[in-house]
Amino acid sequence: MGVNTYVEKILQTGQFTTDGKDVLEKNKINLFALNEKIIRRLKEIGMDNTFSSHQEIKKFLDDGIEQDYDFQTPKFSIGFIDKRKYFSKIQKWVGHIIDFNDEVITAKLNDINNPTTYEIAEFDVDEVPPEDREFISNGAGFYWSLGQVNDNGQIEKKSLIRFQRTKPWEESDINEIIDSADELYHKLNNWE
Amino acid sequence: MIFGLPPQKNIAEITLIGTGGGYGESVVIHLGSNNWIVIDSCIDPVSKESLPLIYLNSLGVNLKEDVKLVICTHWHNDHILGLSQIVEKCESCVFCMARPNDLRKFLQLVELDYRKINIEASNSSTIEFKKCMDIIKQRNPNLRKNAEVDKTLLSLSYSDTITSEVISLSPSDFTMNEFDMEISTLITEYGPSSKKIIAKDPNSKSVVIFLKIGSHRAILGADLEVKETDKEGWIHILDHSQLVEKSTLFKIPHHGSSNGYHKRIWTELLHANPISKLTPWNRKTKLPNAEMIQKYTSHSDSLFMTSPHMNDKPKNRDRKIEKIIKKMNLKIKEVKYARGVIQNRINIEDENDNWHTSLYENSFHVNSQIA
Repeated sequence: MGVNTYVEKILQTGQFTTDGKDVLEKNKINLFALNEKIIRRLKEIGMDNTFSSHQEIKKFLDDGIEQDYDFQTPKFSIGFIDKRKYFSKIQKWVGHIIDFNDEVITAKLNDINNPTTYEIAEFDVDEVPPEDREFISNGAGFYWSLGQVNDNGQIEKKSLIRFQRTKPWEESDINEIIDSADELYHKLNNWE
Repeated sequence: MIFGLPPQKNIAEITLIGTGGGYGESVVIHLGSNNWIVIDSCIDPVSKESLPLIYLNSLGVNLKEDVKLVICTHWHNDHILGLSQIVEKCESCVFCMARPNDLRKFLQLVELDYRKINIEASNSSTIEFKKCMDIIKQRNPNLRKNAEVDKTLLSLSYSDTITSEVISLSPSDFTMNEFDMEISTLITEYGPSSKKIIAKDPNSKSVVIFLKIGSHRAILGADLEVKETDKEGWIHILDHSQLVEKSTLFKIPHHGSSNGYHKRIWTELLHANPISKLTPWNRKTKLPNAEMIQKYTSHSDSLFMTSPHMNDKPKNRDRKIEKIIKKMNLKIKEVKYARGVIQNRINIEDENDNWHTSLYENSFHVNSQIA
């Protein structure tokens, strides 16, 4: 995917995807340049007041979600990001599934802000967004944010569960893993 | 001293450290003459410090020179966390575990899981194990031992006539062959980098330790379970071990679960009315359950637990968040941490001496609570 196509895609779909990150990494695209393209296109379609500067876009792309939604993953769509919406109180966990059935998920949770004793949660599968349900399986990791969303002064209680999305292992990853394991093996093989 | 005075040279010690909740357990052993062993490790979930290290430090043990052996009974969070802290500090210790036959493949699995650390999908046990491997790879190859059936891991002379031995009774060859196949499956099935690797049955690879300290005997059951076959688990030890002898102290396996119980263990491997001790499991399932407590107390007047079962409660947190959790009808409960230490000591030079028990923090005598 080229940069222009990618910019079009995120403007059309509102999705800044991990594919996009790959494009950035693989083609070593200057983020600044990409932001300029986004701003130009936003102006063309009359959405230029969404961001006032490329710094603001960069801030959004870098950490907008974390700052506004205090949430690590995944990256939400542009349309979803609205500066007038923000979490006023928030509890964040990273967790993984230890058991599940058609209705209920049991998970082990670690408090991200206060990682001391852990917690066991049971919650309905309905809490998981439909697009994330395919990830439900034992061992699957997710982030869970719970809090009050201030939407233009209207306070809503929100629970956001997002499963971790990571790219599959690439050949280079596997090679590194094998090399590293082999190095360890040669040093540890002599084991009485 | 939090845990009493350090033992004298002629006093052997077997101390069980537990955390409640399933945060882990560890056994610290003094074989006499300042020779110490650590079996497994667990951590304080707040400070992340290794509890056996805290214990040894409180007794003023010279970690660098006096800890002779560190044993990792199996690859499970509640037995391994903090182990790398111990291995690092105890520079002259022999590190012992049940070495997989296909070590290369096993290390690939460890590396695979370790790479998930950046997205918090690694298993804590893998991270810990990898840290241990990175430390011991720098050390003398003689400082590694493989635990297997009837293998003497350490032998020390206390005097011309008194010796001490540390012997592993498991895992069986059958178990380790099965593990080789499981490793291949785990690599294939749990390749995706956002999933935690979940081993099928780590307990079956548990290293059970038989201790001979002068004329005194003890069995430390780790998490080994009773299987239907004599090819593995407790039945394999009962039917095939040539070295095990009847003991007077028993660390009950697997938190007193029914799958760690067999009447033959109590009649063939233990003297009548042994000192018995265990750490509880305090999650959705509470171990040991009432039925098992009844069984164990029927075998032993001296059953000790490191902490009682505790009711699960939500964590204290911001009231607004508490209200949201309640309003949304979410069931979120803290797994409580409750440290307890059961310390048993005995005179190595006196073959007629009995184990003396000291209880610290949350540990308690079970029989007196149910009488």
